[in-house]
Amino acid sequence: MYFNSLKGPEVLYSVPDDVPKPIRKKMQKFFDIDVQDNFFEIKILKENIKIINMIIEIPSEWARGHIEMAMLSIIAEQDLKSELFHDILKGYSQKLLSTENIYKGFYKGEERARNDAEIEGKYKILIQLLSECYEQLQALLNGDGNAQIVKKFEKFKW
Amino acid sequence: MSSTDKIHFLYIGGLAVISLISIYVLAVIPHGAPVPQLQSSFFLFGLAMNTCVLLWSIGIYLLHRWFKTGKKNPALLVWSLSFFIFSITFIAHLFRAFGIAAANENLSPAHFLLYRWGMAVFAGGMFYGILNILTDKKWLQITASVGISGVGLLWLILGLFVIPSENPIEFTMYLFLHTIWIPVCLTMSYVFFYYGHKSKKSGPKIISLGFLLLMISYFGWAPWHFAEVVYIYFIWYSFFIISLTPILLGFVVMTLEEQTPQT
Repeated sequence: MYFNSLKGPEVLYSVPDDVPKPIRKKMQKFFDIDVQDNFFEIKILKENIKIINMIIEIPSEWARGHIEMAMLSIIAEQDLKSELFHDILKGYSQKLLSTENIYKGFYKGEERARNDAEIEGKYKILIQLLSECYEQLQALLNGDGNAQIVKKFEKFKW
Repeated sequence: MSSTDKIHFLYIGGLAVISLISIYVLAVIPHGAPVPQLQSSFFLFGLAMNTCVLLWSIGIYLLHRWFKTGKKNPALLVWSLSFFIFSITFIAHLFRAFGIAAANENLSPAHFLLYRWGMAVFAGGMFYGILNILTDKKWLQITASVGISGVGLLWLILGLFVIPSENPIEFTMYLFLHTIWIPVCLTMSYVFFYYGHKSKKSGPKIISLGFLLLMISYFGWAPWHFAEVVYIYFIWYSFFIISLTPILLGFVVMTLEEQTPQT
């Protein structure tokens, strides 16, 4: 999710499925809240899910205040611990921040896109990084067994 | 008057009580009543008492958590019972320190078995709890944990009564500690550390430290149980007590970490 200066918070890319509308609306609301930490979770008890978020402030020549606000979010089952995903989200937020002019990727389809040749390329890089991030998260949960022990312990109450 | 003000009265009352006691002590200089039975065994009594307090605290806490969490975590119940059973050895030490000959585990192989069988059950119980978490295969949980307790008890019976040896108790301890007890402690330590590391939680890591220290303390038994250096064994005994503290603390922290909302 990122902050579109004309439309407000918008989902840029979601995998493996679209974010359901009611959840997207909730996310748009808490994207705006002022949290001290850039890594936080929101529990939605009714839907038995939690949304784990990392806010990223990307320097931008085009944004108001020269900062693009973006948020990497994971919609997960309630019993998964947020800390598990911190390192991967942190890693990919660093990758986004270290990619030159990545902010231009947020402007695909907008008026100024026609005047800047970099936008399409940056958008592709942005999507590629987000896809990789998703794959890493999937690997964490299924592939290398790292999270298996946590799931096994945390299926019980202590 | 608010409840906070009433608490202040408790403090003032407490001050009055300790003042009266202090005045009495300073005025009368009382001598405590002697307990002759403990004159030469006070160290064993103190060590055993601390051990019992810690083992029961762990057992009670785990049992409390088992009830509080809806009796849905069998590991909590089994570990709780295991800690209570483990304490049998140390209850015997308390009575032994009071000079009750029948409580001396070294009196005969039968006495040793009577006061030490709980260690084999404890090892199996610990293993059952951990397998209950790691696998859903009931047959594996039962077979492995009963197997560990069974082999542990078998070692005790074989070592104490069947295999010819100059010192059956010593032989049994070598066999049991180094084939059952120490590997089980290391397994417990590793599994809790791995979980703590992957979940980025402190509680499991503290428990892991406890089991690691517990394992190390039992490594101290073999070289220092001989009569000429047995006084060092009592230092290892105190080290063993220290190892129980992180186990208790770790379980408490695990509860707190589960209850603390993440930000």
